[in-house]
Amino acid sequence: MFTCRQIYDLITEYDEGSLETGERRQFEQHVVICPPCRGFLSQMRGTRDRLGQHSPPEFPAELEDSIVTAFRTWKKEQQ
Amino acid sequence: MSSKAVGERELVARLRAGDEDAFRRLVEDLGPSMLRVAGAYAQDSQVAAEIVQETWMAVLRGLGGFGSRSSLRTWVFTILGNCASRRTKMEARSTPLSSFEVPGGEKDELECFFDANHPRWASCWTTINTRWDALPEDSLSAREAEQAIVEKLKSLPPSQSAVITLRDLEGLSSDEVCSLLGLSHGNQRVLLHRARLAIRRALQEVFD
Repeated sequence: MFTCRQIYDLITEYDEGSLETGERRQFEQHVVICPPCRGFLSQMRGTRDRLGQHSPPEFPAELEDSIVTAFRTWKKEQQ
Repeated sequence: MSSKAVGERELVARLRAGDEDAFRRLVEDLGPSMLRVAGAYAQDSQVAAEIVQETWMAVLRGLGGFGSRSSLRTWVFTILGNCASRRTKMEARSTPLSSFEVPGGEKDELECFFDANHPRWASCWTTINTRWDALPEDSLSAREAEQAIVEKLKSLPPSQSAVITLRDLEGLSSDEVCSLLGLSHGNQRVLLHRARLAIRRALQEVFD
């Protein structure tokens, strides 16, 4: 069975679905009986989920204006 | 064809016809994410803004030849990746070894394990982690967490920052990210793992 240290190294591979069946089974067998590794798995998933809620930065109005100006130039060139 | 694909085909037709409102809406829709991804490559807001600007120029030049093999969003992000790589000289295919390190975090993390030769607890955790996977109700710690994420993202090696931004912040698939950054699936997973470990650690410091 995997050690906690191995679980720590394999956690992303597990969540990405890239472990082979035997490794996946060993991983799950370890996590079922190991509260710290279960907590760590939750934390890594919590990290991923929290990043998914992170808002992108505000888009500066002057940047948008300069991109739209470029669009107008492009449009003229097309005609 | 899905309604989304039909909508996108109409949008592309409007853009080609020079519909400024449609273009502005697309810039408003994709712009913030593009700026975030460019920031992950460049780690300098001025350079990131220039990369976004260059990307839109390239999008306009390429619009006539855009096919529907990929979605408009994926196509724009591919161009963004090319512009950003060129601009920042970050050649993902020759990712330096330092990109795979955990900056200032792994040493402490590894000390959380008993030695591999320990007679009873070989390679086991020495401490039990605090659980904070649920979102805290306290808005102060939520704000602190946001700040910790922003700061940690800036301090990651560019390859890690680009991978985690595309995967976890923008929600792209691993196939899309590998193709965008020219990474193997294995390397992409290692970079994602390292980056998540670093962010997890930064968040733990906020919540502990």
